[in-house]
This record gives sequence, C-alpha cells and structure tokens, in this order.
Amino acid sequence: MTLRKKQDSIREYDSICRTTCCNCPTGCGVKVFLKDNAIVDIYGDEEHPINKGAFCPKGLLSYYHLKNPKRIVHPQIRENLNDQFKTVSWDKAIDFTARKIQDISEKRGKDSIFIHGDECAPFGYLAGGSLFAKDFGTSNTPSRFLPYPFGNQGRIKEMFGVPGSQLLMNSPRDWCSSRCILLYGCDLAASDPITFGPIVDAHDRGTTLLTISSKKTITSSKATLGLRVKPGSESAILKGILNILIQKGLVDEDFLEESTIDFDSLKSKVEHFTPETVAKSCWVKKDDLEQMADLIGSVKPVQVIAGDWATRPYLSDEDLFMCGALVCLRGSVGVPGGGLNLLNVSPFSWEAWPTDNDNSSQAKEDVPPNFFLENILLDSPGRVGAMIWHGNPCTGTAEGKKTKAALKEIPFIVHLSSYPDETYNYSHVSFPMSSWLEYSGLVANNNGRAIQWHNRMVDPPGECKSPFAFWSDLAYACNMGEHFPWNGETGIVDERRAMDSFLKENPLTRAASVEKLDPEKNPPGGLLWPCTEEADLEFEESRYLIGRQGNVRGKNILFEKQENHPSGNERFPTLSGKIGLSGHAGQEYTDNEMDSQDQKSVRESYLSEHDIKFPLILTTGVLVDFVEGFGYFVTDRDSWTADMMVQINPRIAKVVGIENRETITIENARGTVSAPAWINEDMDPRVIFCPEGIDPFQPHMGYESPLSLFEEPVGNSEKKSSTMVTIYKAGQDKARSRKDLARFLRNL
Amino acid sequence: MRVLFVSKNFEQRKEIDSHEHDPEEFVMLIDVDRCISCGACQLACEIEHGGAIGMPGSFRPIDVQGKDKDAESPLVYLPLACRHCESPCDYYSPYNFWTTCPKGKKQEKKFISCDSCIDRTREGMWPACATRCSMKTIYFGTFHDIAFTLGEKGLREMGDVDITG
Repeated sequence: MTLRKKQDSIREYDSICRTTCCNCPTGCGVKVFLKDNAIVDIYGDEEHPINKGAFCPKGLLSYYHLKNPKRIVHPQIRENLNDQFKTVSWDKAIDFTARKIQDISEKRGKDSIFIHGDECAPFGYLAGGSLFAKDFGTSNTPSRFLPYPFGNQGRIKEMFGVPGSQLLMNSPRDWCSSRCILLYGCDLAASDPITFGPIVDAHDRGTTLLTISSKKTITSSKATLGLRVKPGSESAILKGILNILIQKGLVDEDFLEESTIDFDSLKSKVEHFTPETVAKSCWVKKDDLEQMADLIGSVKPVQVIAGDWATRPYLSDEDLFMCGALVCLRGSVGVPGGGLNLLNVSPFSWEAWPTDNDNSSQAKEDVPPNFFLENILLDSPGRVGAMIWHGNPCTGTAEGKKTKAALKEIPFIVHLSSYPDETYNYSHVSFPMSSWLEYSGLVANNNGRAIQWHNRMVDPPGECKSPFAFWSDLAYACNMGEHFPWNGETGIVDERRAMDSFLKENPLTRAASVEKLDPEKNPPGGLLWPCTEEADLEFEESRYLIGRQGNVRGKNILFEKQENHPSGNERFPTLSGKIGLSGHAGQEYTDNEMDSQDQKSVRESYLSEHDIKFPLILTTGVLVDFVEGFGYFVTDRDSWTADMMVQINPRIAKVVGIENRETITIENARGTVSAPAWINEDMDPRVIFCPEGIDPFQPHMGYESPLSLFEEPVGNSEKKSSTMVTIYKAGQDKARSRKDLARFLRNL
Repeated sequence: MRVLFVSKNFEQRKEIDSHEHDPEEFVMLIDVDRCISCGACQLACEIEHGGAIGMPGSFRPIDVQGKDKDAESPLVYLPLACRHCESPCDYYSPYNFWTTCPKGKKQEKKFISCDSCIDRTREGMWPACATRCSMKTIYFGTFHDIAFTLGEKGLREMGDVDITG
C-alpha cells in the first residue's frame, strides 16, 4: 500500500474551511476542520503556494490559544494602577476610554494622545489606529513608531524609489531560481520557519546559501558558509565583501553602466575596508571573508534577504544600502532569482497609512517623523497623556528600570491583548482581542508580497473583538462615527466593507477587493501586489511550463527590464531612472565606524591590563519557542527549554563556575537580568545571548527581558543590537567573577 | 517500522537499495539536512494523540545535537523518533530511544511507544508528524517508496526537479 501525505483529519468533522494564518508575516494557508462550530483539527493548506501544506508550531499553537484558561476574555478597567481591575462590559469600557482620552486631550492637548504601533500588529489595528489618530487630531500615529530606515526618508527609497517597507523584488516562489542567497542578519528558521522553506529547497538543489549574523543560529547551520561576526559589525562585513568584489572585478559592468549612477562614490566608500582590517575588527577569518566574496562573485543571480519582523528594528539605513549595493554590483535586479528582498513588507505606505497621502500634519511638527517609545518616555517626561497599544510593547523597552518608572507616570494606558502580561500590568483599561481564527480581516504585512484575507472560523469567547472593531467603537463613542462609516444595521462594523475601501484607495492595491482575496472563494495564496489593474489579478504564466498558468495571482518579479513600477514612470521608479549608489551625500565612513564606542573599548581591553567593568557583549533575538506571548500558553517545552535561556560559551561558563540550567545574573549599569544558563558551543566566548520577547509575568519563561539592559536608542536610527555586560553566578561574588573574566579575556 | 536518518554527509543509499528488506516494510526517513528543530512534529504528536498540551502521552522529543569541542562545526538538528528498539524505553529523557538513559536517572513518567499513527496509516495517510513537519524533513512509506524519495532527493541536489515552483 502506498501512503500519501494528506493534510486530512481522522477526527469526525462536518466542514473544512480555508483561511490564512496571521501569527507571523509568512501568511500560510490553513485548513480548519470544524464540527458543530468548534475546531477539531488544523492543517496547513496543501494548495497554498506559500506553505504547500506545511504549518509551523507557532501556527499550530493557535489551536491551544483559543480555549486557554489564562486568556483575558472580558474588558477590565481601573482608575489607577494600585487598584484591582474590575470586569465591565465592552460598551462600558469603550465609554470609559472615550471619556478619559477626551478629558486628557482637553487638558494637555491632542498631541498628548499616543497610538503605538509595531510591524507585527494586525492590519486592522494599524489602519484603524491611523484613521482614528488622524480624525481625532493627534499626530502620534502608529506609523511613527515603525523603523525609520524602511520608511520614506530611508536610503532605500532614494535608491530604488520605493520605501524599504515595500521592497520585496522577487517573491518566495521565485527564490528557487537563485544561484546564491545571502541571509543578512536574520534567523528565519527561528522567526519565520515556513519562509525558510523555499530557501532550504533552493539550497537542496545546489543554490549557495550564505549567512551573516552575530550568532550561530539554526539558519546558519544550514548554510554553505555562515559568518559569525562581532555583534554590530555586520555592515562592515558587507563593505569588506563589496570591496573584494570590486577589487577582483567580480562586478556586472554592463548593469552598473546601464542602470546605476555614482558607482565611483561607492567604490571610494568601501575601498579602505580591506579584508585584513575587516577580518580583524569583525572577528572573522580573512579566508572565510574572501571565500564568501568569491562565492557571491562566482554565480549569478544573487539575492539578499533581510529585515524579517524580528530583526527589522536593528537594521540601519547603512545595512540596507549595502545590501542593495551588493545586489546591484552582481547585476541581479529584475531577473529571476535576484533582488533585494526585504521581508514583512506591506503595500500600505507607513507615512501615509492608511489612505491619506497628505503628510502635512507631520510636516508641521518640529519633532522627527519617527521615534522610539523610550525616547518619548525618557526624553520628554510628561509628554504622554494617554497611550493606546496592542500586544506587549513594555517588555521590550531599553533602559528597563527608567522606562518602566516612566510608564507608571502615564495618566492613562489602554491595552489591547489576550494575556495578563507586563503591559497589562501598567494599563488602566484592558480590551480582550479576538484571535485570527475568531474574526475576518486583511493580512497585509507579508514575507511574500501578497495580500490575503483571513476568515472567521469560530465565535470569540466572552466579549473579545477585533482590533478594528475597537477603533470603530471608540470613534463612535468619541462622536467621530462619520469617519468610520462601515457599521451595519446592528451597529457592528462590517470589516469587509471597511477593508475593501482601504484596498481601493491605496495606490498599490486599487484593483484588489476582499471578494477577490477570500480563500474560500478564490484559489489560496491571495494576490501579489502591486495590483493596480484587472490584468494583475490573473495568474502569472508558469516559469517552467510554457503556456500554462503559474500557481499565484500577480507578478513574482518586480523591476524587470523595460517595465515600470506602478509608482514611477521610469524603469526604476527613481527620478533619474537609475539606482543611486552614492547614498546620502556628505556622509563619510571611516574605520572608526566599525566599532561603536563601547565595543571598541572591549577590543582594547582584551589586550590591556585593565580590569574593565562590563567585558562581555550581550546580544538578543528571537527563538522559535520564545516568541512574544507564548510564555502564557506554551507549557510543553518546560522540560526542554524553559530552564535553558542565557546562552554562554563553555569556556566562559567554566570561568564563572556555572553549570547548565543554573541561574546566571547578567548585569550592567542599567540593571540586572537573572535567568538559567544554557552552555552552548554556538557562542563566541566574548558574547552571550539571551532571547527577547519574554516578560516577568509569564507563567512559563517568566524573566525580565534582556532588552532592559540596552542603551536608549536614538530617534531616526536603528535599535542597538548589543550591549556590554558582566555575568556571575547568582548569589556569588561578582567582583571575583569579573576579575576572572577579565583575566580570561586578556589571554584570549 | 524503521527509522532512517539521511544526510548529504553520510551514505544511506546502500542500505535502502539493498534487497535484504521487505519492500513493504514501513520506514520513516528523516532528512537531517532540513530539520530546523522547530518542534512541529512534537506538537503534531500531541494534537493527534491527546489534544491537551503537555499530556504525558506525547513523546516526540527534539534535541539539539552539537558536535563536541569544535565550536566551528555545524550543529545537527534531529527529530528523534521512537526507533522501536528491542528494549523499549522506560526513561523520560531527551534520549528516550536509547536503551539506557545516558544520565543514568530513572524517571517516574513513562512514555507510550510510537504507534506510527495507525489510525492514519490505515486510512492511507502519513503519520501526523510527517504530515505536519514544517520543513519536509520527515518522509514516510515503504522501503520501495523511500528508495524513490531518496532518488528524487538526489536529482533535486543536481537541480533537475523543482519542488517549489
């Protein structure tokens, strides 16, 4: 008997419904098996072009989230933080919130109302929040919290004419055509496992897979060559590689001549990044660096993938520019298998979200267009009158002690979430949110440049509602109902109509509609944007079988020769029609830039006799089972990972006398974090790693987030990806431990 | 049922191709090169056999196996399947398929042996872990089918077969 891989349940069910997973930006198709309006089983949709039946554990866990006893299912309010929360009806909580924010805005001005946003928030939250902010009159919209280098002011916009938040040239269905894939600073196996699938498929077929990151990861373990570099020096590595490519003449002269300007400026910018200097200051072997450049230079097309949801805030303008330059040097733009592919892209321009292209309200402000939560809390105390946010942003703040003290000073905080997490504990109102299986909505942020639709499968428990319903209800309670004209006869917002109007008014999706996206009525996979005319809704021709249709609607490859991007009228939508390789004029790069100040001090300390205070570099990132909020319901991993968190090299562990799973304390001037140690060969002895996305209130993995030890980020830049710390075994003499560490590192 | 771990780095073809096996015997093929230790197989097992998270009946441990000492060597990630060895495992440990627990510690919890999802295989379907694997790491079938799959993988490495398009 031949068995088949079949995404089918053996449990009793009466219907199978199709929807789209919203747990991460991969956007997998899902088959939900229902019996008497309850979910009995979930499988990946084998007809979906992205996941082809695969489904990662994050998606599977949605099944457990629905009926989790720890989930908040009723709105709660309190007058101040010392009171206990009181359960109230949804309407009462909405009235309470509306009254409060109106009072505060009368006393402190409308700009004291902040609506927080991050790239992982559902579209309904970001769109509804932006619309509400605009109509309410506050300039502090969710888009201002999103990473600057990906927006309209970033260098990527200058190079390619579209902001980084929209730049995914070749969709994942095309990645198998690539001959060389460089994963820059992202650990896709941990953050978006299904997006990693096509990359491993390509690698299986002989595509060179390269990774550059500050830590050895599961992703880098699959690579042909993975460089583990000093945290924070990734862009210096790229410059070194560009320099080698230029010196060895491994560049596509024709492409540079035809499609770019200012190549000489780039050349002079990278020429002092010689293999020797880069290898030394980035902690890599010179041979490995040269080998990586040779691997990139020996094949074509080459593509660079960067900027997944987890690492995006840590990428600088410079990083993105260098990634773009690398793709251009290899002439891999607009060809199958090439492209600069930034993940988690959205067709909705951040600065103008959702539909209004008039930025005047922001332009008038004398504050920068983008900022970090920490900047608002620490640099201008008392500025925030009320804060509305989704998810658990408090736990990821740098300068933990100070920011959390500042949070307590905010007069009014509204929290939209599902679990009593750290942010909930700073809030005055908590609104329970529906899971993606419990409401219908648009999936706009995506790793595949697709827009999709997810359908309501089951009724939400208690009074849970969708984020967009929250904004609509709040607008009505603030007497601004005319701006949310999508309420049906029953007074409940019709999200289909609302999302339809957002799609129609958005320049890159005007041909799309919810009707055309619904996976119940259309082939799964959604639509690839830009979709500006009817023809874009058709299947693309198969790249393998001439005359046959492909498996997805829309265009797999953007920026093809002689073709315009819809937002411009040149081949590349830049003003000159060419890709600018100069970056911003007036910025010079020196060797010193390879080292941020405190990392430089470490480099010296390894040689000097001085005993320095914080000799180790702490880095952070996500692990697949440490993703935000999962600590509230992932309990099965107790025996495997719950007591293994802070990854340290065995040699360092020996120096500070720590065993696996013993509590280790990480300390610097900003505070301490204590968590179990995980002794791990992956780590460089000078670096330790602790996953982010954890908070002290979680029942599982409940520890302070390592981000609280980080330095406050500077507005209009990237978040710091590392910080200097010292470690010691909990309860032991830290002065001695520090001395031993210093002695060890000096001899390294 | 047999469990075979395959990788580009080690030769398994001979065992598969040899005619000593019953071609109809079930084999679980694990492509070590693709596993990312995500844990989908573990959850699949729980959903299939229990439905309640953390239920002791579930037992597909995933362990990260690093090569000793050499920090530069690549890590190997493995879904450790029950191998139905002759001395069934009594130990609750990541190494539950070993005859003796390497930590020498006997635990209270006992694990149910893998039944290769007999309810699914009777219906002609792969077991839950193989079906739900997020990276197409786990294959399931008879020796005959597996030999075919391995052949296809070999072709894929040469770039002849497209599996994403």
